[in-house]
Amino acid sequence: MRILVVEDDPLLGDGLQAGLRQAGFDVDWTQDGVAADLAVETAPYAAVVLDLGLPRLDGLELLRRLRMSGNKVPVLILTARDALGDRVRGLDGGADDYVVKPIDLPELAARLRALVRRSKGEAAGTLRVGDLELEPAARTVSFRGASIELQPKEFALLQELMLNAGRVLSREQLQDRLYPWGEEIGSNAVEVHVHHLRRKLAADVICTVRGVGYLMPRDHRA
Amino acid sequence: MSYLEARHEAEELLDAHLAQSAGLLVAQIGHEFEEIDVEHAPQLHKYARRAAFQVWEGGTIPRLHSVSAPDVRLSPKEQGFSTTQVEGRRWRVFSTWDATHRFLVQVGEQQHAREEITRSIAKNLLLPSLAAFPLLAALIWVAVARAMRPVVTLGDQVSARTPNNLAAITLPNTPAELEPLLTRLNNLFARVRQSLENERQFTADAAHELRTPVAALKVQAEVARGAIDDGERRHALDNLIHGCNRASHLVDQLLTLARLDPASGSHALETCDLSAVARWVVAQLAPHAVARSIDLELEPAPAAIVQGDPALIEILLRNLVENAVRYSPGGTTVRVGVESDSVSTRLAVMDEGPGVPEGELERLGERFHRLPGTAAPGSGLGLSIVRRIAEIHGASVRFSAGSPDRGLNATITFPSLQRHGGEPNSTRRR
Repeated sequence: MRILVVEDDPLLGDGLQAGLRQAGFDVDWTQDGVAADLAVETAPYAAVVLDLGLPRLDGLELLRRLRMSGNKVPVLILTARDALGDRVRGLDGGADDYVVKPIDLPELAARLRALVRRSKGEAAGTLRVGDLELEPAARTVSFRGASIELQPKEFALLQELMLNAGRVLSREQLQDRLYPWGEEIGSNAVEVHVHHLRRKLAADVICTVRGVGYLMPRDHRA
Repeated sequence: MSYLEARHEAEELLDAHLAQSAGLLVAQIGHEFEEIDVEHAPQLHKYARRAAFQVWEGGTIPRLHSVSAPDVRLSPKEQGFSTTQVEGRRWRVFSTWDATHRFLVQVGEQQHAREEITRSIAKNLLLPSLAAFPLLAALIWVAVARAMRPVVTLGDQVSARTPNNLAAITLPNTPAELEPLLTRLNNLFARVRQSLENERQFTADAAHELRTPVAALKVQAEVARGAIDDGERRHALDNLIHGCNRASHLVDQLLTLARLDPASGSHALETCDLSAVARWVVAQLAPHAVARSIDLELEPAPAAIVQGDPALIEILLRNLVENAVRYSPGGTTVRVGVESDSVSTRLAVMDEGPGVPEGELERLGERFHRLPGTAAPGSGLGLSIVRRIAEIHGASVRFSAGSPDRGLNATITFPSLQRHGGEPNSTRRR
């Protein structure tokens, strides 16, 4: 899951990026509001961690613009402002969660997973498609009851496909959701990961839609 | 008092009457007395019983006396007023001789009768005023109560106050006498309110400003704990140490600012040389500037004496220079200058950094205000400290764009020594 962290404090931003990566997210980090605005418009983030006191473009204003343009990306506000009025303004301004600094990384990661889950219309933490079960928090996958070892990118790819089960995702869309800025992408990276997943699970778990992209059928045995 | 006075007046009146009666008797004696033996004059009035007269030939033989008169002489005295005791009664007597000195005339009044009269006169005089007293007292009471009502209302308002309520007191129709007191009281309330508000704001700001550094420390520590490889752990630990330095710098700056609080007492100002302070600060910060590839220069200047606290001016200059070095790119120059003329003495720090947009110049020095887009670490307190120290010295702070269109000039203008008039504490008054 690709996450955007918008935090102007260099130490905190760096820490959030590193910490959320450890928790299995793919993380982009930007330090100002205008860059964040641009990033959200161009990349398909699963969620945004947003500081409020931002240079160039205030966090609340950025949120307002996002929602005005119809962007529904889950937004978690992470801020030092804890007054009731600030929290109400944040949530009414279109935020999905409001967390006051300082924060535990595991909690932040859990909240982000919950936001992403709910944004996909799922209530349970565990993703299930057919015989596949994916536990985002524990980062475990089981297929037909057997536990499967996956590389981080394979896990992320499977998660994206499961979250969007029944919909075709293009290679570029998957690439955008898997690779944060500055991460080296091989020209056939997605194909390679799909190939590995098919080998570890079953060939029919992921269908190729020639010329369009990949699809995980809602029930892959059908 | 007035009762006694009234009695005294009545006594004098009665005495005069006594003397006049005696005079009348003496005048009578001359014409008709030859044929009078011893005669009892009839009683004519209710008071007559208590009044008496006697005519003694040669002072010893009774010739004429009133019914009420005793048989012995009313008074041993032969001339003028006297008070005597005759047959158990006290008399007030006037004695006089006739013109031939043959007859002694004595006219007397019983003392208790006189007292009754004088008392009744005094009483008649006094009663109306006695009746007026309660009325008068009531009127005074009402008037005083009316006049005091605003004072009582004021007292009630003050005593009903909680320490948090520092709003101005308003009285309906404040009397002119209370106006200055009320104005001063309200001014005091306003000052205390302002000072409390500052304190509250500062505490809130400080706590708020500490949240982000603390959050960063915690997150970096968690990253270090969860790191898989050594490189990642080392990076997080380096950041953790850096974060601790940053937090402790912020705490130092907060403490400095708190010590400079107007409420924390006066600062002793002495004569000090700005050039010497500038040399010291530049020498101290030069290694730091060199490490950042920045030329830190002190423009040569003669001694420039101002009234000030050298330790505070050092903090002021250090903050300005540190700021300039922090925000300037490598390869540029930061210059420190001291200038002096008859009007003022100026301390200036000029950098070749990115400068500050026109609209933001005004906000420099606001507590915790950091320039939008600022990447360099800073507490947002340095320039607040500069402003506060300048204020203590009666100096002004001005930020302006460097020329041409680059850099930032900070100028602190101290009043010249002459204008200070050797009264260092004058700067404390605002």
